[in-house]
Amino acid sequence: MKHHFIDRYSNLESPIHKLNTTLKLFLAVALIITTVIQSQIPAYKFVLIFAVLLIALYTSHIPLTFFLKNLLIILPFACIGGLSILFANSGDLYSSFIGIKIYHQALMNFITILEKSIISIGTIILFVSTTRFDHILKSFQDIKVPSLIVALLSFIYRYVFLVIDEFMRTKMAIVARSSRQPTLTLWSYMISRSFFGSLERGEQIFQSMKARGYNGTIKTLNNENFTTGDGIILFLCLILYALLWKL
Amino acid sequence: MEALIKIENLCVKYEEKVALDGIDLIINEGEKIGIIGPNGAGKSTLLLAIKGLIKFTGKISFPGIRRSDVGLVFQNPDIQLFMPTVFDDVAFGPINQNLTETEVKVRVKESLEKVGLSGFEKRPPHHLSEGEKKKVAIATVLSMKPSVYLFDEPTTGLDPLSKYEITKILCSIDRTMLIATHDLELISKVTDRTIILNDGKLMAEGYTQDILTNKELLARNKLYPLEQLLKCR
Repeated sequence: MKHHFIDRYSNLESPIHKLNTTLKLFLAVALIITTVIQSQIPAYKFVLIFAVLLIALYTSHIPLTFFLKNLLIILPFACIGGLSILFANSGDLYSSFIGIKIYHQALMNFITILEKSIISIGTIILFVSTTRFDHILKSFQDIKVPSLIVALLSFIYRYVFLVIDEFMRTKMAIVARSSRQPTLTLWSYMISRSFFGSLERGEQIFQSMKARGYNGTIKTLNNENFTTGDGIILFLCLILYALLWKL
Repeated sequence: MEALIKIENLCVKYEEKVALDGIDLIINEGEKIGIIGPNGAGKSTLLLAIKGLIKFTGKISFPGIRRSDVGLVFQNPDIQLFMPTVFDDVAFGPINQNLTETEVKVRVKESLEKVGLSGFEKRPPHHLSEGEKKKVAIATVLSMKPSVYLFDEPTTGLDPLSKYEITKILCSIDRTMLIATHDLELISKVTDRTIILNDGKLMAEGYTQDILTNKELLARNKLYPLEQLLKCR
């Protein structure tokens, strides 16, 4: 199967791709924390942060459509929790529609959640798209994330694509023998078959990994050094984050 | 010749089905052995048991080598290749052998040269052709420089040119190897000794030419002799 992965652009050559993985992880987490702990995010501040993300995106040669598509896929899930806030009774009445009242303060709170979600998800997409997954795992190991969690992440990553792969195979096999659109029963069959198939293939891949010396520890050639360039980027970003905090 | 692998009374069961039943076999240093048999005969199971990837009863010993010195190339290259690039996949084994970065890079370069895929380092394995995938799968084990190679159906599903190229690669490997296959032509070109498995039992063992010319033996074990195949066309 030739489907594209979330990290399909992680092997590109760009200044962002070349940055030290642990530094990128630190900067991404720091930006998310700086954003999330603010009580309100004025529009100009949101535009400024989003512009920084877009500049980083442009520098990393990742297509804007890919970024926006992924953002729009994940955003609704992040905003589901914020929906209840939208209908909370707080502040002055802003609008009323078919009996549903929306208050000004509730709307502002919801917009803040939306802004925080966009920045956080955008940052994660940018980080994952510009960093190879095995480098991210190595970075987790370096910062002493428990090895069990790192191993779990590594298998989740691998198995998610196995499930997608199996799903595509099963769907292709069904569509090839049917002129109609798959019914609900067929969809349920496809999904269950995908899980069973990927479980079997996952076991075989694990055997293949063990046959080549895998013992649960991820080893890579990725012995990244912290360069002067990384230091400059760290310094500039810390100033930027401090400004965001103070503005 | 020094024995590298000794198999005594090897038995493997999958649920209620007996996959291997009392196999005794000695693999000597430098030998190239073909394992032939119909579907479900236990060929792949034998290779998995030697590599220690499945549970079995009986005894498999490795006098003079370690089990990690045995390299296995799986039948399905999509199982063998799981890393994002060809380089990463070929480097996976050497990295797990704790080699230095320079050594790993040299091993990857040499292995890809040997299978004729120099310059493929940055390619994603899942975008390669079936023949190329098979070659990369072989390179992933070549890079580990094992003492014994186990190949599971190395030419299955390949076009004639790819099949010829894989046969050439196997001929060029100057190490002990076991090849489990239906491809009698490959067996006749690469191996000196051949065993026949059927229903999990070792039915025959001998020089490859003797086995392949014994049409009655092949027919009895649901294997058609090569000559008969040619006549059918």
